[in-house]
Amino acid sequence: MLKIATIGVAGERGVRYAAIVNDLHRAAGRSGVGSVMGSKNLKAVAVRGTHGVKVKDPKRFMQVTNEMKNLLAKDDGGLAKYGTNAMMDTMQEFGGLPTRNFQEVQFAGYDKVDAKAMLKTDETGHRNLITNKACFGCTIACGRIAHIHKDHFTIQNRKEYWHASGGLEYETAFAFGPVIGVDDIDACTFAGYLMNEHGMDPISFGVTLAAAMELFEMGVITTDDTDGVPLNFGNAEALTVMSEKTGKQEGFGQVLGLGSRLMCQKYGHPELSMTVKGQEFAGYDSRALQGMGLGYATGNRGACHLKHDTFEVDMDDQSGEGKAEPCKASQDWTAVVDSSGLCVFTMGAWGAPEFAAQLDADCEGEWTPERLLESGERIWNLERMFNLAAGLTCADDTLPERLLKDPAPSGTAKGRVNELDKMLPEYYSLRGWTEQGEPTPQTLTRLGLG
Amino acid sequence: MQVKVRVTGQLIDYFSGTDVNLAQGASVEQALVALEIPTRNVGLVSVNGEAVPRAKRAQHSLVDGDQMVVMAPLTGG
Repeated sequence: MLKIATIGVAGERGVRYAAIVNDLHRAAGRSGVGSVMGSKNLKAVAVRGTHGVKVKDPKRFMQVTNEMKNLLAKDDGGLAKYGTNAMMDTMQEFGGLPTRNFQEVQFAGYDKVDAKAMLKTDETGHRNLITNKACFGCTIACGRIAHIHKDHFTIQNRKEYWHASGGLEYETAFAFGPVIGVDDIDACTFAGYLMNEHGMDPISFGVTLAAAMELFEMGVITTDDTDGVPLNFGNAEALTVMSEKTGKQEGFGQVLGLGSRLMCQKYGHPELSMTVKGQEFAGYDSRALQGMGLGYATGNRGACHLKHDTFEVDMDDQSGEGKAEPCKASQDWTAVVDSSGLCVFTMGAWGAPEFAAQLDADCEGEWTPERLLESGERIWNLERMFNLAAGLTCADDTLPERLLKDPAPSGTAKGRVNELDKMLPEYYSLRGWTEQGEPTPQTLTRLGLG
Repeated sequence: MQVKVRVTGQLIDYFSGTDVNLAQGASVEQALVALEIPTRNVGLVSVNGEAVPRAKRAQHSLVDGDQMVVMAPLTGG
């Protein structure tokens, strides 16, 4: 079986958030790794396996992984049927759904782009979702395969897009929907196709476009800047036109390809950039989800949602109280899961003992839950040391002013701002870092990094 | 008494109606039992837009006409 990881035209042309796309529509999307490949003139990596994989204890490995697969199959959290976009209406009711460049936290048109909308058959018999799809060996199958109505303006005269392909996940739905005020599911799906085809991170593109739309509505930029396209919130055509322009680096797409931070700096409004360390936020508002905000602020690659998981405690308590410990613990643990090659969606069914049992059967050495957790903490600190050496400081462990000063206008966290000032000192202390966010010599020695 | 109920995410598989009949003074916890939604599958309950933390579900009494939202847990993604 041949497997291909490739960049698209966006990576070739230096879009700051270009992605590496695996097998057509599964992406390593965040942090611009596609641009790194493009800058090295590396177009793709294709692999055809011809040898086996060495496993420490094959018999125990098969036994343990079969047990774990059964456990996973019983507890997929509804991901097979509804996909990750099932979270859309939860975020709406919770009041943590970033809307119109994070000016609001709830979006009236959410139910036109959520998981139920994908399952709905319209009057012509068209349904957005065709089926779900699994990665190799996975019992969850959270992936979506969707298609666009043939009469939709995006593909009416473009038969090359009449096929089925990767459909909306929660993050793509958020980034092409609420955060830019669009409620057109076919336009969102088409923008998703273009992200996969051109190789771009939909989160970073959507959040950058959201900032551009706010600049447009403020009058800072006009149609003279945007190739004649009105960038009003809610304009579905602006979404799809700018997706293509950005991927191909044409016209205003060259500005959008800079990402939110550089674009907002260019126009003199850095406060409109919803980023941490230059990375655009995923779809969880830090005023409603305080621990997620702390994780974004301290994230080694900025405002990425895949490096920590405080959802459970954040839902149950909208304050910043007691969030530092679960944030740190989940960062360390996610570092383990990422290093194992397993998907983070297994974390709902498997804890440290389940991961340790599989890894210990697979890999040389003794792998206990305790050793794995220490390894995760070591990884987090090593990444931190890299960032400090690269010039980042504790001043970069922050959130945009909008999340720290403008209270959530509605939802269960109405009136709240993110309490980073209270959480961050506790977090540094728990990590064994100085008040300047630097690992102490004792911490480095304890982790074998001294 | 009658309480308006909305569920989110995959909880639609447990309850697809709009109202539930409960005894006077029933708590949020009792409402979840009546709806047959397992507690482990609930991320948060709000009543009239206000969050009801897990620890307060048994004490929070509902009144006729309340609007309750039962939210699925968030998984990231």
